[in-house]
Amino acid sequence: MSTLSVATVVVSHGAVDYLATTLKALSLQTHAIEQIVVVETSADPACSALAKQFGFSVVEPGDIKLGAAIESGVQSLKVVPGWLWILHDDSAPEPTALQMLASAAELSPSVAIVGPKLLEWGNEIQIQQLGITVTPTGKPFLLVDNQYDQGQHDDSRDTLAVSTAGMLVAGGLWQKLGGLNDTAPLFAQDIEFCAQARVAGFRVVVEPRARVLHAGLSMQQARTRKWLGGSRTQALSKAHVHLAGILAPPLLLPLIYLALPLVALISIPQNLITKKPSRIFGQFAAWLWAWFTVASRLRARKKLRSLGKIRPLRDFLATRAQRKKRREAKFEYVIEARESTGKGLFASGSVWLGLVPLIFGWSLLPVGAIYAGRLVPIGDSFGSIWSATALAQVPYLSGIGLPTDPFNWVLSVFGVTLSSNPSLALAIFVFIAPSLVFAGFWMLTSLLLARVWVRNLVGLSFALSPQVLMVQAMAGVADLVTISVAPWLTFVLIKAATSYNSSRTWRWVGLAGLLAALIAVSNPMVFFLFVIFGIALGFNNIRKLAILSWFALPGAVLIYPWVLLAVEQNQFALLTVSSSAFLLPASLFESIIALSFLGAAGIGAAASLFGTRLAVSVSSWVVAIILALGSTYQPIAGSFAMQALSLAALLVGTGLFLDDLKRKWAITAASIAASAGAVAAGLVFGPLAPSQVSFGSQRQAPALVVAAAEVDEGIRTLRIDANGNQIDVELLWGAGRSLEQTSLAYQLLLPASPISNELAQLSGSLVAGNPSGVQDLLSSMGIDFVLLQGGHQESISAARVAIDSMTMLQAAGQTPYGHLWQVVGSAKNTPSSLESPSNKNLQLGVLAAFLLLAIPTPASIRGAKRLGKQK
Amino acid sequence: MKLAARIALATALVGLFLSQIVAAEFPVTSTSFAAPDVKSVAVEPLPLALYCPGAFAEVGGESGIELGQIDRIGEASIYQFLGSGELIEDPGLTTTTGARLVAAGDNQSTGLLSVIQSQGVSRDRALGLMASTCSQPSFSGWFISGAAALGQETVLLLSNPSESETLVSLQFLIPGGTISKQVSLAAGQTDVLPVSSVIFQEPVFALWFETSGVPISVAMQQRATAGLSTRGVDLQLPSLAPANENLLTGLSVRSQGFDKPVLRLFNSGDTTTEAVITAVASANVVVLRQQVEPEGFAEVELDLTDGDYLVRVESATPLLAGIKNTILKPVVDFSWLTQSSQFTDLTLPVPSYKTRLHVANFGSTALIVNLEITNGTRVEYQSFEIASLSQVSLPISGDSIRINSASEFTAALEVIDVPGYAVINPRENQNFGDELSVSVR
Repeated sequence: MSTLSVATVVVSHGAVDYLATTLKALSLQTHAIEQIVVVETSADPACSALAKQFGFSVVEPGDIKLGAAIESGVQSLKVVPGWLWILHDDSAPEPTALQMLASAAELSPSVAIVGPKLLEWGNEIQIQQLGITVTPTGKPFLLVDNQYDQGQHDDSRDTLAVSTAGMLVAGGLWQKLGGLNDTAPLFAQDIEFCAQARVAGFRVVVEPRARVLHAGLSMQQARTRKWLGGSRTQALSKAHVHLAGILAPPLLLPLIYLALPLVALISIPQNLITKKPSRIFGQFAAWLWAWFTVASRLRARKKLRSLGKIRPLRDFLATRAQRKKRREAKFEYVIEARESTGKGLFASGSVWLGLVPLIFGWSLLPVGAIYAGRLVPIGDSFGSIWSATALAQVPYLSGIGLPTDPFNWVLSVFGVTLSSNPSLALAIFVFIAPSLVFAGFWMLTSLLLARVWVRNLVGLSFALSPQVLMVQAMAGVADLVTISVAPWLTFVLIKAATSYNSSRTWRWVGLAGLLAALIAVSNPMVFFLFVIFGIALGFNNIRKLAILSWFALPGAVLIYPWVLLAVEQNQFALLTVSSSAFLLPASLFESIIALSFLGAAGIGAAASLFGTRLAVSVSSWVVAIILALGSTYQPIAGSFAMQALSLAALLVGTGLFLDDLKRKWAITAASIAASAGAVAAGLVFGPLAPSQVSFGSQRQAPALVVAAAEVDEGIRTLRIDANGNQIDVELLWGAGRSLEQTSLAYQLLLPASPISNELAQLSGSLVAGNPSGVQDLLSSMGIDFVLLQGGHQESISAARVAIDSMTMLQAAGQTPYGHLWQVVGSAKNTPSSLESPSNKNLQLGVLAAFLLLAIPTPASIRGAKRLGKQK
Repeated sequence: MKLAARIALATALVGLFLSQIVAAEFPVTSTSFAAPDVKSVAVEPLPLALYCPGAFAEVGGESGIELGQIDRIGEASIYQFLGSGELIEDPGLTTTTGARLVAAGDNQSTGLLSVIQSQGVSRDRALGLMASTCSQPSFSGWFISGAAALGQETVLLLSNPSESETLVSLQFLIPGGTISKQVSLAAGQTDVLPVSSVIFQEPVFALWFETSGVPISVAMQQRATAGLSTRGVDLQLPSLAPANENLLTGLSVRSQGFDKPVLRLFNSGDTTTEAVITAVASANVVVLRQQVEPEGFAEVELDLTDGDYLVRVESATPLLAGIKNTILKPVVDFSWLTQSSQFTDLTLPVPSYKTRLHVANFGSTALIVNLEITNGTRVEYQSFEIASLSQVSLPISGDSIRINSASEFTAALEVIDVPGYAVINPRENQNFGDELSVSVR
C-alpha cells in the first residue's frame, strides 16, 4: 500500500449530476486522501451543498479559470501535502484509481506527474485518453483515442502530458511551476504544464491501471463558451496555435505567425471536404486570438526555456506512424442499419419508367436552339453566359445599374454542361425535365412509401400530369427547373434532417444548399417556402437545426441582389419571377384535365388522413395548401411551378393511401385509373397538343456582328425599327440579345439613361439621312454596327436609303435580322459593366464551399457506399 | 385519433385547399412593364422630292401601228404649289418623259410642295383626261386597277429618279395565280412597260411592286376602247396598302343607265373575308356585302343614283379596293378611285380645268373644315361643317387650296372638263425627320 500523502482538488463548474458521481467515487477511494477540496467556479449552490454533504471543503472563488481554480483549492488546504490529485467534476475515479496512481508515483523519484486511463463516461469499455502529446506542429494529439479497452495499452509509460482530469502531481512541482498557465487556452494548459515538468527534468507517466471515467464536458461543448474560451473547435485551434508558439524554434516563430492567415484560408477546403465547417471559424478566431495575445505566448516560451532545454520533448512528440494510424482509424466505422426500405430507383428497375415521359414529349426532341414565347436562345458559349451572370449592371444603353436576371445562374449551369452549344443543353433539359421530375419524385417517395409500385404510380402520375406537361410544352424553363429540382431538394433535406451524424448532415446540407440555390434563382417564392420547410424539419430534430439552417445560404446569397432591388423599388412582385423567359399568368381552372388530376390526387390524399401515417399525410396537405394559396398570386408571371408542386404534395398523400391498400382489386383499380389518367394527359399535352415551341439557330445577331463580338466583347449594335414617324431604338451589346442578356428588371422598370437623348437624336438623324453630328454620336456611344429591321416595309426602305447615304457607314447588306451597316473606323469599346463585381466572387465562394460540402468523401462520411464495400 | 376527429380534420384541410378558388378571385395588382420613354426628335429631313410620271405613252409609236415602238405623246402640264421652301429642282410647267421636283424647307408636307400633273388626250383611239398628283418615289406599292384584255390596255410608267441602279420586282396578281417580272432600272432611267408583254387577256389584275434599293416612281396608265370608239384614259399612282377599312372619296355618279361604277376588291390574305360596302350620298345610302376569296378578286356593280358618294369598305382581313367610275359627258371617260389618305392639313394646286373639291368626313362626329383658296395674291376663306359619314363637294378655281381641320378628313379633286374626267387622289409628301418619336429601350 502506498504511503503518499495526497490532497484532492475537485474543480467543479456547475455540473451537479456529474459532481455527485465524482464525489461519491472519491469517497470510495482505497487510498487515503488527507483533504478533499471542491472548488466551485460557477457559484452553483447545489454543487457547494453537495460537496458539503460529502463532508468536503468547499471553495467558491467565483468564475475563474481552471488554473486559478486549482490554485485556490491548493491555497485552501490546511496542510500542503506531498501530492495533489486534480479532478474535474466530470471525472469519476474508480475506487483503486488513486492507489494505482500513487504506486506509479512511488516507482521513481523522478516521476512528478501521473495520469490515469480516462474512460468514457457511461461507456467504460471505451478508452477516451491515455496520455497526450502533440504533433510536430504543436497540435494536441491523443495517444489512444476511441479504442475499446482490451488491456492492450495496460503498460505504464512515459508521455509528454496527461490531462488534468485525474492528474496526480507532486506538490513541490506544482509550487515550482506556479500551477497552470491561465493565459493559455484550456486544451493547452495541461500539455504546457506537463511540458514544463519534462523540461524541468521530471517524468510524466500514464498509469493504465488507474481508471477514471471522464465525461469530457469541455470536449463535448457542454461547458459554457466562456469556460472554453469559445467553441470547442476554437479552443482546439487556439491550443494548437499556442503550443506551436511555445514549442517552435525561435527562427520559425515569426513565420508561423505570418502564415497563420494563410493556413486558415488553405484549411477551408479541407474542413469543408471533411464536413467539419465549424472548424473554419475556429481557425480564423484562433489566428486573430494568436495575433492579439502574442505577448502571453512569448512569456510562456520564456518560462519553458528558463526551466531547461526543450529538445528532449521531441522524443515524446507524435510519430509519423502514430499520425498515420490515426488517419487510418477514421476509415473504421460501425456497421449502420439500413435507412431505406425496399429497392432503389435502379435496383427496382423503376428508372426505365423515367423514359415514358420522353416518349410523350417526342415532339420536343431537341434539334437546335429552342424558341417559345419569351424564350430565346442563350449565349453561344459558357463564357458569354457567365459574363452576363450576377452583374450589378445590365447591358442596356450605357449600362444600367440593375442586377441581371437571377436565372442566369441556371443558364450558366447549362453553359457548363454543354459549352459548345448551351442552347442545345437548354433544349435537352426541356425535353428530359419530366423524366427528372419522375426520378426526383420517386426518390422522395422512397423515403415515405414502402411499395415500389406505389412510388412508380405516383411518380409517373406527377411526371405526366398536365401541371408538368403544360410547362414543358410552353418551355417555361424557370418553372421546369423549379419543378424538377424541388422533389430532389425535399429528398435531400429530409435526409439531412434524419442523418445520424453531423458530418453526414453537412454533406446533405451541402447538396441541399446547391439545389436550393437552383430553386432560389428560378423561383424565389418557392425558395422562401423551402426555407420555412427546412427550418420546420430542423425543429422536428432540434439537434440538426443549426446545421440544417445553413442550406439556405447559397440561395440567399444568389438571390440577395434581386431581393434588394425588390425592396428598393418597392416592387415585391419581382420576387415571384426571376427570368425574362417567364410564362404569362394562367389559372389552373382553365384546364379540365389539370383539375381532374388535382381532384383525384385530393381524394387520395384525403383518404390518407384515415390511414396510419397521419403526421406525414397532414404535412403533405399543409404543403399543398400553402402552395395552392401561393399560386393564386401572379402579379407578373404564371405560378405554374407552385401549382405543380401543390399537386405533388397531394400525390404524396395519395401514395400514403395506396401504400396502405391491401385488397388486390383495389390495387388493380387504382393502378389502372392512375395509369389511364397519366397516359391520357401524356397524349393530350404531348403529341396531340399544338406545338408552342420551335427550334432554330442559336444566333441572335447577324454573323458579322457575332464574329466581331468574338474579337471584341464590347461590340455595340444600334437596332432601329422605323414605322412612319415612330422609331423604336435599342442598343445591343455583343452578339445580340440572348436570354442571359435580356433583363427582366430593365423591362419592368425602364430607368432613364444619360444616353437616351443622344441615341434618339442619332437614330433620328440616321433615318432622316441627315449626317450632321452622326459621326460624333456614333463615336461617343461606341457604336460599331447599325441594324435596321421592322415590318413597315415602306419606312424601312426609306430609312435604308437614308442610312445608305451616310459615308461613315459601310453597308454590310441584307441579313436575316435586317439591313446591316458597319461603322467605318469604330474604336474598340471597353464595357466597364462587364467587369465582375465583387459580390459575384462572394457568391461563387459560397457555392464552391457548398460544392465541397456536397462531395461525398468516404473519409468523413459513413455512408451506404462503404456499407456496400464491406459486403 | 378518433374517426370523427379525422373527418373534421379532412374536411378542414380539403376546405382550406379549396379556398384557393376564393383566393384566386381576389384582385391582384398585376405589375405591368414600363412604357419606353418616347423622345421627340426634330432632324432636318432630306429634301422633298416628287415625281410626275409624264405624258401619255402610246404603244405602237406616234402612229400607233409601229410594232415595238412606244412613244410619249404630247406634254403633261405640271401644277405646283411651293410653300416656305426653295425649289432645288424645277422641271418647268410641262413634262413629257416624267419630271422630278425637289424642294428643301421646313415642315415637310403638302404645305411645302404639292404637285399635280394633267394631260388631255385626244387621239384616234384614246380620248380623255389623265391627271394625278405627283408623289414621292416609293419602294413598294399596290395597284388594284389592272386590266389587260380586248379593249383594255395597261401600261406601266417606270422611272428611277435616284442616282443608283435598282431592280424592280413586279408581281401581277391575277385570279388564280401570280405572274412575276423583274425590271432593271438604271439611275435616272425611265421605262414604259406594256402589261400585255407580261400577261395576256386578264381583264382583272392587281399589281404589287418592290424595289431592291432606291425608291422609284411607278404609274399605271390605262385606256379603254370598244371597237373603234374610245372609252377613256386614266393615270393612277400606287394606292395605299391593303387595309381593313378602305375609304374612297370623290365618287360622282353621272352616268346612271350607262356603265355603273364598279367596285373591285382584292383579298391579299389567306382566308375568305366578307366586305361590307357602304356608299353614302346626301340622299342615298347603300349597304352591300361581298365575299372575297383568299388571293381572289370580287367586282361589284354599284347600283347608285346620280350624286356624290363616299364609300367605305370594311372587312376582317385587309383588302385592296378601287372603284372604276365612268362618265358620259362631255366625253366618255373613266377614272379609278383608290383608297384616300386622311389629313388634318392638305395643300393642293388646282389645275386649270373645271374642278370640284370633295372633302369627306368618315369619322363618327361632325368636323369643321377650313378652306383657303389662293388665286394670285387673293386669298379666300371658307369654313363649313361636315356631318359624320358625309362629304362636301364644291367647285373651286384658283392657284391652290389649303384645307385644314382639327380632325381627320379625306379629300379628292374631281376634274370634269372638255378633255374628259379624272379624280385626283392626294397623298402626303414627307421625308423622315421633322417630327420623329423615338422610343429608346
